[in-house]
Amino acid sequence: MGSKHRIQITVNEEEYDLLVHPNRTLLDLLRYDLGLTGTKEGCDEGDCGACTVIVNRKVVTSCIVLAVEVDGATITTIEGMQKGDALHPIQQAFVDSGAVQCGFCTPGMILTTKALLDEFPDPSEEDIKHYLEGNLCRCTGYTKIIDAVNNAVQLLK
Amino acid sequence: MDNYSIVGKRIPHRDAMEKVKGSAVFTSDIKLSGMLHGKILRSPVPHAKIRNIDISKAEKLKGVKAVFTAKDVPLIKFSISPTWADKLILANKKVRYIGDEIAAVVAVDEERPGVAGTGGVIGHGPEIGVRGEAGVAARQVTL
Repeated sequence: MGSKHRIQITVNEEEYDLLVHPNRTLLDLLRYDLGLTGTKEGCDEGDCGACTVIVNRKVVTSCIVLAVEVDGATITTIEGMQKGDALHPIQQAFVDSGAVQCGFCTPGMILTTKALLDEFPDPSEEDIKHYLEGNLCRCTGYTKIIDAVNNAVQLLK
Repeated sequence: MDNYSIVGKRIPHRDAMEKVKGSAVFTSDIKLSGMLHGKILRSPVPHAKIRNIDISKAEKLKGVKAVFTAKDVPLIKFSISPTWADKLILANKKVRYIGDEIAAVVAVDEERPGVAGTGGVIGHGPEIGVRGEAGVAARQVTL
């Protein structure tokens, strides 16, 4: 395997100084080294979006990102969405719109939504559908998720 | 509708809150100290007779706690209904689809079952009259 590499990352505003094997994925680092199990492993090949996190303001599928690639980066996971006890408006919108069934896709959906609305606070229906393409959901049929995003747009105004 | 407290009212999903926070615990989120990890060896071919399964090397691998095959489990067929019961827990004499479960490995971490220990399945096919990979010779499948 070879020796470990040192990386310094900020996750949900906390700084970490870690030693990782070169083949450690960001997903495994978050879930197993940092105990942040909110980010899910769905396909392990970058297709389903359940592992979505925000790295330096961009959404990535963390299952195919190596931890060593994100040295120096600022990362947001689902656990970092709320401040204290209050839900982030996007989280509240998902609850209110009935957009959560089994919940496995939900963290990924919420983070993609955050990245979308940070860049485009007033997206069209097509923008929303296009942006969420990388996040698959087997339960809801997507309509309520799109409702939740539209709901969040209003809450954030 | 006014008399009802739930029917006709907007009631949030019971666990929507934990799910949007990421704090809902799914099975794969559970971490227990000293826990072991299991993986399934699956058939890479759609149809074959199992002539032999040799788990001796896999069992000896450091960190591997157990290797199970059909001889370790009840050979009782099951399905979602007894009427259609046609499935075994682990394949006994035949594999019938790509993905059919052949063996189960329990080890101290996730990497160990994936490492090439040789749980070997020697199989060949096809069965007469069944579409299969004609001419496939005996092949070895590693755990």
